[in-house]
Amino acid sequence: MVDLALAAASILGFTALQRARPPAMSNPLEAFQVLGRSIEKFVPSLPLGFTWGEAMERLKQSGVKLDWGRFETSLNEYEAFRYGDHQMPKGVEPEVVRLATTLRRNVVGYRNKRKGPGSS
Amino acid sequence: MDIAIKERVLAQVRTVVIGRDREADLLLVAFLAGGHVLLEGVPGISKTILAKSFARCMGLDFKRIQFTPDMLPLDMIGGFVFNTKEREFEFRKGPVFTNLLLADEINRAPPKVQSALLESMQEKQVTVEGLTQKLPFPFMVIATQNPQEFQGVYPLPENQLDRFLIRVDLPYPDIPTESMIIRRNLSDMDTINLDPVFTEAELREVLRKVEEVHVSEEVIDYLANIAAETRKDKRLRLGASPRAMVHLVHCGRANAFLSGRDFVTPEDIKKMSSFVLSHRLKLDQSAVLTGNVADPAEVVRDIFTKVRPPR
Repeated sequence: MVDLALAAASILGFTALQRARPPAMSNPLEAFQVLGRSIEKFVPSLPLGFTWGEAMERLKQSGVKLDWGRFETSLNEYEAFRYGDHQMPKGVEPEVVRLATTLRRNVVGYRNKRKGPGSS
Repeated sequence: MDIAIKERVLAQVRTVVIGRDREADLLLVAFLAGGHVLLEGVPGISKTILAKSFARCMGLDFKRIQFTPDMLPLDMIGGFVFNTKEREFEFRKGPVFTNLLLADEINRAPPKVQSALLESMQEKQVTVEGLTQKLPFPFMVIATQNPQEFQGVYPLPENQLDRFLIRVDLPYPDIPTESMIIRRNLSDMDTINLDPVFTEAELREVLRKVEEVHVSEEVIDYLANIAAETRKDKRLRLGASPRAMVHLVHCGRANAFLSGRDFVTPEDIKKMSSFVLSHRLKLDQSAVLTGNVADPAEVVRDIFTKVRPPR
């Protein structure tokens, strides 16, 4: 019985970790697409029509810890590629991945909290 | 791209006009986008001084017309007068032949005059008795109107409002700004002290660079989606015209340029949207009466929250 409970807990923990981990991002385009979807899904207070600038502002205000300077540089390069026909930047900025991961983890935590004792 | 242009212009305007950075910034955007501006506000809130300072620091020739109900189109565009020496008629240019024309209280002019002005704004030329004359380059109109006036005015119809690239509401200044204005005006300030920020050649170069700012296909599709939403919205009787969307993309370009970029982002479009669109949208009266909406700007903001931009 204990074994079964431990196995179930491990499976649940593993699933939660998998859910918190963003999909693989091999280039900046993919990275920002994943980040965009993560923001849409996990920051419900932002309307569907949010821009990158608005999202960044909101996340900064809500105290998300990140090297925002590096993130902003990476975003500027991405925007130049996305909207300005510039070359795609080389490599994925780790701060972009970190932000996507942070957003997913926070939501997992939020869901667990809601399911915890005292919640209806 | 020259991010310093905006700062240079604003710094110059600031030496004369207090607390109007936002408005000066919008004038600059409209100028770079090649459009005209409608300034709305009650009298005495520095509309004229703002336009005059802007013209001066851009190195533009400036003229002002105070519109009245008894004006004729010829008072503005000019006409033929008989030259007794040469014994022939010659064209005498009216005040519209300038770089920056302040059309003060445009809603006081009769419809014929309004229509003549708006035609010159659109065509950038005037035709009198078959003679077509090009207006100087660049040509920009800053028209003002007092939204509180109802007596003796001729409100601009929708098709004429659509010619204005942007409309800017000038609110009363806040208390600290008002104190500064009063203090500053104790010593007579004049726009004469302003230095032009550009030479004519530099100005042409800047305008050329703005035209080169890239607009991606996806941003264009985004604009088209926004336009479609304005036409579907039940709170509106009249949605955005294709001209409105073209104007919006021009403003987006100018804003991108002033932000130091050579491409337009959805952010540029969103930032300029309510200045470009709200005066062109007409609210549905039943939506107003039921309290669903009070201001077209509100609908614009709402639409931009619903339409997903390219990311």
